[in-house]
Amino acid sequence: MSNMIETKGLIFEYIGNDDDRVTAVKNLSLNVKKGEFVVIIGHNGSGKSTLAKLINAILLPSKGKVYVDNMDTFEEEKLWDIRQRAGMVFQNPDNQIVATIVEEDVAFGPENLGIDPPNIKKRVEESLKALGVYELRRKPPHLLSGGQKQRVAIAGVLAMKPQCIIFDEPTAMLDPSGRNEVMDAVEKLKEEGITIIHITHFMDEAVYADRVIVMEDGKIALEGKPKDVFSKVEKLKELGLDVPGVTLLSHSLNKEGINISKDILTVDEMVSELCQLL
Amino acid sequence: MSIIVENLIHVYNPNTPFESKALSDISFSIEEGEFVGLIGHTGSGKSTLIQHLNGLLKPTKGKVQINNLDIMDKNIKLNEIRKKVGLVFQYPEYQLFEETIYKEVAFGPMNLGLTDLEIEARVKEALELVGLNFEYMKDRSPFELSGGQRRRIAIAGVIAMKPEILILDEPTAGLDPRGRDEILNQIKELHSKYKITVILVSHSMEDIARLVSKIIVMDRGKIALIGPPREIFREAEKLEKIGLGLPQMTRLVKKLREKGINIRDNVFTVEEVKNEILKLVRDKKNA
Amino acid sequence: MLRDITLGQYYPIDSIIHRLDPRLKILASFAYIIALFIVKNIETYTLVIAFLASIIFLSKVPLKYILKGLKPILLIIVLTFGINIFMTQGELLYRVGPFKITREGIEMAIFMSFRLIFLIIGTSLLTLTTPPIELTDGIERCLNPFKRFGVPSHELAMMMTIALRFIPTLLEETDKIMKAQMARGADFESGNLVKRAKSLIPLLVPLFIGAFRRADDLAMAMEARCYRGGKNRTRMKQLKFSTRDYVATAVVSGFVAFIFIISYI
Repeated sequence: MSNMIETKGLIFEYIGNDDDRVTAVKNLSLNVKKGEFVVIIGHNGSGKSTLAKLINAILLPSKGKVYVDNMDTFEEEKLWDIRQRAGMVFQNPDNQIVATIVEEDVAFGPENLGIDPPNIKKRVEESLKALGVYELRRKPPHLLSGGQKQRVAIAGVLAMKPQCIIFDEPTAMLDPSGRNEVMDAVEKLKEEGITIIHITHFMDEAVYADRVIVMEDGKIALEGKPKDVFSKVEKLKELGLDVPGVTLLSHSLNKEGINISKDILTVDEMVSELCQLL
Repeated sequence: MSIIVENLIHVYNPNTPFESKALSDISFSIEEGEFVGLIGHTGSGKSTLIQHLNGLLKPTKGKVQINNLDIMDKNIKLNEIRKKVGLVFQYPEYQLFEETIYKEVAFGPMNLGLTDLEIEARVKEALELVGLNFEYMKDRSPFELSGGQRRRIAIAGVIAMKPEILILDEPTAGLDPRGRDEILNQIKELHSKYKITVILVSHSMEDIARLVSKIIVMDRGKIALIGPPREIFREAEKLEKIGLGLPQMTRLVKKLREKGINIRDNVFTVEEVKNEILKLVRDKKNA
Repeated sequence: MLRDITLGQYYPIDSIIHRLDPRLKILASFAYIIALFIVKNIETYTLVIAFLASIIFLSKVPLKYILKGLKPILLIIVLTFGINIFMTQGELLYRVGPFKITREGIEMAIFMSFRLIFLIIGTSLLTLTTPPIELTDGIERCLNPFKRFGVPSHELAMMMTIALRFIPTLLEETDKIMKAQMARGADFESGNLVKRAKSLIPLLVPLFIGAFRRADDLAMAMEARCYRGGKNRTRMKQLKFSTRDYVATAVVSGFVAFIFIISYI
């Protein structure tokens, strides 16, 4: 399978508050395959949001390269192709909705791409239905809940028919039910074959990923399948990240000499392990 | 400082097409020095409720008493109430406006009409309480800081008013785990050191379970459950019906009990569950 | 207070006026304003009022609701009345101190105030019956022919859309910041003018910073969705003139032509 996203020796620097250079991304090389669901975790200032903006060509590398579907983000004439192929959903649902009516907002992307009107209509309808917000299509955005707004924003990106969507902490400002709405939507998009890069600091959102990348100080600190990453409890704690309660439990039961699988991620897995034990 | 709320009703935009009932007939009381968690969905009425507690909103009907003072009493100045009840709003870092951190934190104490000397002492104390160095911070602009630090400045601005009741609306929203833990630990310290009453509004059952001695669960403008965490988490069905997530350990215990494993149903921390399982394993070996 | 402003607010019901093409409604509003200003006598005035009344009737918007929109500009109407009653020369009726009230003055004052009232009612009818999105669309397309003279029609329309989108958000934010500062003991209500203006700083600074932050975020989100100005941009909703619109066009142009003829010939 070919790569959707590829970064080579990626470095990004910016000028900080005290006029000194801050390196947000340090020599990062990363490949994301087509159709993969990658979760990037790290706390604020770890460089994860900068990475997202570099992929979408909102920022350009200080050094190194970023390729989106084999297109170099430095090539100006490919800029719109890159952004169409790798869509982006941002953190604050209020600050990414442009229009005063839901369906008009979803149409915004396709309109920018110059799609003909009947086709835009079709795409808008499909996207709204895929995200379960079709009933809200005539509502003004400020009357929607956080989760609904965020799903409208996702529909707006989906209507551009991207191959890849980068989610930059889309759940950070939502309540638990809003978070669930968005995560259900993300998983549905994954099933439809869209490559997903999901940036978050909620560990439980990483459980169903194909691959988890933990970032710290502009570099990759840990990488692997969720089970492999989460089983490194000590390392995660050292990085100041949360570990799911059940993983923590299996870890501490192991320490007490109880023979239980160390890479448990969900409550159901834990229940079936414990049922065998007890 | 005790809080008594009696038959509180609040209706927004009464007698207009936009009329909506945010609180219907709420009664509860909070004792001095309690650490209370307030949980509920967006739109469950929790924001409306806490705004009543320092007189930002007035009851449509009912009574709110802060230490035996009725907030509706004409003889009581609202500033007196606001001096006693500190309210930290959601995303408080977006309310900062001063050029220096010192001035920012001093804004509240200044409105209280304190002397410069007192103000300085309070600013210093408040900044240190939120884990920021006074000398290093005081002349800097709040806007140079990171999001998490800005939030702590904003919280310090309320703490500097030395409220006897501190209400925090989602103080950890949008923070990463490290920032969240820092703020929660500082709130905990504040509560134990100064014996003030704290009301913590949160979506996170995990955070609440760890900190508070009493939980109030709100649902559609009413109090759905009220009591100590152990009792609240026993009502798993009710909490799930309201659509509030259960702490992971509570979910685990519930599922184990459904499978016929006889584990106690009032444990909700990893440590407690671990000990329970160890006990069960030992019992099985001994049997 | 903010709820009193009907000017610029949409009244969401279905009526024949609501369904008309926004371009037609914008141009008709202009025609109406022109008609209002060329009218010189009471008879033609009655005609214009009758025309306005029939449109209000067709729009199904309650008259009470429309009249509420006059409240914020009451002061301007009173001012217009005052200026005209005292400043017009003519047959003397009363004398109040240094001011003279003349017959022509009274006539002029009534005439001008009513002109203003009908102007506001007519134009607010446009916004009451046209959803904001159609309105901006209509304005963009009405301005399109002037593009070659450097009128940035697309940019203007986009600015209007974004403004309309963020007004509710910013109102909400204003309310929140005010409450937060009040909780810190800020007082927005007492004191003299200078003190009050000063007390607004804790509200305005965060509000502006917030607006800039939102603008920054929005610009980035728009770019990420391939926004690059009006070039090559298509629109989902196409505006199309239906039979209804042609009939309305005929009626409006006939009416304006008639007013013009009886006023000047």
